[in-house]
Amino acid sequence: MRALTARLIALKNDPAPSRLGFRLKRLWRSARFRRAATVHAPLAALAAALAWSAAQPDFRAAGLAAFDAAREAVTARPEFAIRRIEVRGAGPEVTAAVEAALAPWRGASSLAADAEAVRSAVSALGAVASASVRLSAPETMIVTVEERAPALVWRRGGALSLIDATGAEIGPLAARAARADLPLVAGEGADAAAEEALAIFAAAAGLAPRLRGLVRVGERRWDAILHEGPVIMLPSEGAADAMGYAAALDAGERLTRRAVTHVDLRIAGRPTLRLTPEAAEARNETKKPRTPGKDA
Amino acid sequence: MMTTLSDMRAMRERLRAALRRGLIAVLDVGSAKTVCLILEVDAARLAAAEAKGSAHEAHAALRVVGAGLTRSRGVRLGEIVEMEEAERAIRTALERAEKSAGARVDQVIAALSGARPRSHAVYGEAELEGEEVASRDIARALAAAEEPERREGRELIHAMPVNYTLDGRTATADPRGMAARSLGVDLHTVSVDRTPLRNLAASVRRCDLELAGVVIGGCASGLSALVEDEQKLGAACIDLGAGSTDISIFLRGRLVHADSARLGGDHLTQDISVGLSMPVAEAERIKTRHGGAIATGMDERELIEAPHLGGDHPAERRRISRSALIGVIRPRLEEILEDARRRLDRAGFQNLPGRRIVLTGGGSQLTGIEETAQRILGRQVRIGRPMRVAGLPASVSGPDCAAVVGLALHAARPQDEAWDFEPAASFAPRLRLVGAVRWFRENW
Repeated sequence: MRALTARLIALKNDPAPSRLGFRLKRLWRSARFRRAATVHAPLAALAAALAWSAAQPDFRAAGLAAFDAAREAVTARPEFAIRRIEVRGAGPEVTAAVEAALAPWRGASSLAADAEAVRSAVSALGAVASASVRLSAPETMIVTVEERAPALVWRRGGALSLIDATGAEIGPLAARAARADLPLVAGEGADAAAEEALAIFAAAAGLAPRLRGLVRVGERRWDAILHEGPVIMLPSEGAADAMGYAAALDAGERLTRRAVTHVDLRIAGRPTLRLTPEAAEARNETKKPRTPGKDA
Repeated sequence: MMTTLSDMRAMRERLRAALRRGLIAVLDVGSAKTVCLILEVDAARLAAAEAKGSAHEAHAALRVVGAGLTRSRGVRLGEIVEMEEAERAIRTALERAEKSAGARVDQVIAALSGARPRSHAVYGEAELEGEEVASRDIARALAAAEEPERREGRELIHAMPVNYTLDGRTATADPRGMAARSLGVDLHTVSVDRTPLRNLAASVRRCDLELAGVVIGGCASGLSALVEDEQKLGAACIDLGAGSTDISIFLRGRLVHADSARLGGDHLTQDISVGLSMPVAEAERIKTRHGGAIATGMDERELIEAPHLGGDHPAERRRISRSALIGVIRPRLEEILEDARRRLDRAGFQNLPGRRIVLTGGGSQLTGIEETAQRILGRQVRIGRPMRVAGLPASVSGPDCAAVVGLALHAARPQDEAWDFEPAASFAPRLRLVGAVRWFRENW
């Protein structure tokens, strides 16, 4: 009976929808129209608005500025600041140098930090062969460094510096005595030929104790300077072999103990000696032709 | 064979398209109320049920997702008499149904009540082309059936093959694949007045809906109120509507007769209003609340508030006994039932194997109607509530909504019609192309 009463009420009270309202409601119920109205049309309007505003230079500039400001506001938040810089894989001096180089990043936003920039800043230090950078939450930047191993002492004018096996400059050296264990090279362009220099030092064999250093001549070839001995002029090609040859000559002939100022090995297969003036005099005396004019 | 063949075929196409899409509406524009249901159809399940030939499974593929019910206006004796008003009622019902379904439907199956249906049985026969009966043979046999004589202004709305005979012997429901030399088809045709049909179609069209089928109201009620066995063994369904009493007879699961009397519950209300001089709305209320078919001693003492026509003064308030009310209702009810009996007799209902009668429709809710009907119709009568369909709200599952539920069942499993049998091979290539284009248009 209750259902019947409810029905009677329902039957009595029925405002018919107007035809227009009915059509509109039905249109709204059709899935395709509704999707078009709620999804496609707003998206199209948004795209059109974006395209239009991007086409206006003022709008565009203002929009980009606002975007930058917003990004700035986020990156500048204290939560993103780098508070600790950890340097790994380096000795205490290099660590200090690296930390000094990274000073601009201390307190900077980790969102704005560019790993490439940090790495190049660290790598710009002579003592660092390579570096890798990563951020570690919270507030820490970890820089892992590979140090360069000093291989040579390079003298340029009065200044001494350390270079590694590849010729990269590590840093200045206060006194030669501080690294007496390393061989010495000198002259412009010596660093570029560091590898060759090391090979020459290795080939010196018996001459090594007396070898004081190498001098780069014309950025092209080496002169080996011996302690109390002649200058050995090495060729631009095959210098190490030539040094070995010189060492062998010295071992066999005691060449460097003789009155010779230069041993010229620049032309392969034709070693040339320059005698001291006294020795040259003496030689001229002994080698004077007995029958003058015969050669003339 | 018939002028509206292409219309009917187009409606069938729409129905199939709607079922594939899975959403269809059914609409019953009655004299008292207009009901619209929105059905969700599980197309895969429906196809499986069709392959099995199971009516139950086909009905299980249905689900009512929206229902709208409103008072009818502009409908008298089951027929639309005021287009504008009827359209408003349809709009209201559809709007409510769509709102509760949250979806839009475009195809609708409508029930046609009233419209003076007439049943004819015709017979057609054809020699088979091959050894076995094919769909084309059925189409040829149907084409051979002579057209039932039709008066001017009548329209054919059903032409159902109800029985097949193979070489003179009655065959199964579906003769396809049977070996025979000749095939005979008994065709049951239902013709109606053209005007109410056109009016219904127009009012549906004015609501921006496509008609996917028209079913005679009695047939729809019978489909839902009769159980499957009753439909098979032979049974009559009497739908006591407000404006018309629709009668349908089913045998072997097919509609074999349809009739409609232009008498209904509104006449009861009218009698009460006139006989007891009451406002019509009040008479309707008293009829549904206190009405009955048989008076007992108790009813003498039960007094009902019955306001006078035009008099709402407290001093003029009067009370009538329930037996006085029943005394007004009863003669008219007997008249309605006797008219129904006459119509059943004329249809030859006595000769059917099973002779069950099922009362349904709003009028069947009258207290004591079973006994009265039993006395007048002369056999066991039961009140048929419509079959349950998933999701059907309680407000549309009473006997008064049998027709609209029957339409829903019809949507899932339409009865075979003559225009369903079209020899596929006769399509010209051009038509096939047109069909392909239409298929794309409908499905994309």
